[in-house]
Amino acid sequence: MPHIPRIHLSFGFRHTILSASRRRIYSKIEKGMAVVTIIALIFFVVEVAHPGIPSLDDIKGSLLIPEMVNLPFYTAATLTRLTIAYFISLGIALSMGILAAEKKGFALIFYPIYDIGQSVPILALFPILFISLSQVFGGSIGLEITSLTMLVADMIWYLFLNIITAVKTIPDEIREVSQLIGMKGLQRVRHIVLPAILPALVTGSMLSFATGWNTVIFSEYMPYGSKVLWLPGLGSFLDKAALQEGNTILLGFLLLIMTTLVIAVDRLIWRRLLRRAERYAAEVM
Amino acid sequence: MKVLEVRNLSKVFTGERSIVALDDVSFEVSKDEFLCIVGPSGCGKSTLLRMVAGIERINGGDILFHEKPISGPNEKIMMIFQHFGLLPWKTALENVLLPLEVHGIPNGEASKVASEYLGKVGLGDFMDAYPHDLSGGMKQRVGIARALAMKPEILLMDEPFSSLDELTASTLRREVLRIWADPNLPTDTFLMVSHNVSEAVFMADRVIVMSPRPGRVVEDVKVDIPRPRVEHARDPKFFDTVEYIIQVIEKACGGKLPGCEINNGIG
Repeated sequence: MPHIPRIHLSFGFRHTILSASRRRIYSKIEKGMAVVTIIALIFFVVEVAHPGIPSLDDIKGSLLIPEMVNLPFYTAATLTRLTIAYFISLGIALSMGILAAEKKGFALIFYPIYDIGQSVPILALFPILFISLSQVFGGSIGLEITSLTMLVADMIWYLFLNIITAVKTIPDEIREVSQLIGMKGLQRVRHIVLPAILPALVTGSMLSFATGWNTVIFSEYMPYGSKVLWLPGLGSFLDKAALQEGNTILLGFLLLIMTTLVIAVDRLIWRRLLRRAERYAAEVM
Repeated sequence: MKVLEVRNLSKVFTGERSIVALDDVSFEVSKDEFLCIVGPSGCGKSTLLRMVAGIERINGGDILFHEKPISGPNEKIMMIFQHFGLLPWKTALENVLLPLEVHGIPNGEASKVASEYLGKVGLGDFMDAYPHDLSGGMKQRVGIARALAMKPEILLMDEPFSSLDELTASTLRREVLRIWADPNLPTDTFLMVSHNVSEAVFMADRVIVMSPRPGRVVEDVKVDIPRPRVEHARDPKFFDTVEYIIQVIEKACGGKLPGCEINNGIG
């Protein structure tokens, strides 16, 4: 037996260093830019959109409206809508990714689908979708389904592209190994395809959820003829505050709530998953 | 005893332009033999190896393993790869375990076999390390352990040392020869693809020289140098054999040095 150098690496210790270095560290410039942006926003809201510094009574009057009681429910409804749309998108994108991984022919079909699908302006389709769906399901359910459809149609593409690209970059040798040792469909999906695409899946999910927050604001609120149809949710509340009541202070407050939610979801879910997934991506040949 | 027989094998890659990678290749491999295939890049030697492994389709001719044609992967024929082919998301132990699990070997026994073979290649202390934390040589050791743990009869090696530094490669070559000679291991027939002629002469009983694309067998050279070869690597006979094989390759390339051909990526 030849001599093998005994290198005593303490892996636990190394992992601490690695995970610390993988944590995003913001530079002074980035922090500075964030501060400037926030100050500019506050200035815009207070001075331009709502001239004059609002008094405490102004704030009270703007925020203490009857509908405020529904805020927790609205928040929950919007989060639920986003989550359902995310999982539908994930399901579709994953199945397509796995199909592409198993049969090379599918990958060739999926790229044109992506090219066309992601360039469809979904906002333009909103009224058409709603009119046809509300004929079938009636106004409120029709709008709920329209909203979900629009969310999926907007959220799916980041997941789709990330997954298909990740599947395409699985090294040939790893595919050959799976063939050589006689892995069957599900084994290959579990041991090869899913771990290989996990990092791309998480980054795709982050982008997908982010675009979902954007879409949810208009997909919950539908001016239809002379009346307005809306779904209970944070998005429609924002629209009402802006479009119906012109209540800038309420608008600012709701934006603050939404920003907090976005940051919370990012910190509590995506960042953690990303850190775990990066270990998988540590080496791709 | 004849273990493997390649008979009139040919391979055509069809695409926009058909490429004949192999043309009427025939040779035999006996039990306990260490056979090496050398040839210029693009001569289809790696394709040939993959066809023996059952992971590349055969267009014409046969490959017989114990007289039966190969039509797909066979657990008695395992392979190690140039870039190791390890799954980065599994530890060394899990990588070795995977083929055993796929073949339905019970968990307890599989872990026992996997750790035993990792121990045999000197990685007993690194079972829980991820490939990322291992050096190139150590990764290839995991690859070797993964192949041997299946207790195959034939071990295929696709340029197994060419992505390692020379010192590591030289250590691993001796290690592979030790494994080949080990009477306690069931794996005793080795088939290696290489473009390093001295490596081939150092390791093999027979060297099959192939022509540039379309790959044909140009000559079957018996390496008549006693083992252990480490002790004979400075003999004139060693250099003569290397020189002779290089000349055969040059002649096959039309009198020019290997590298004369356009490498189309099939190798």
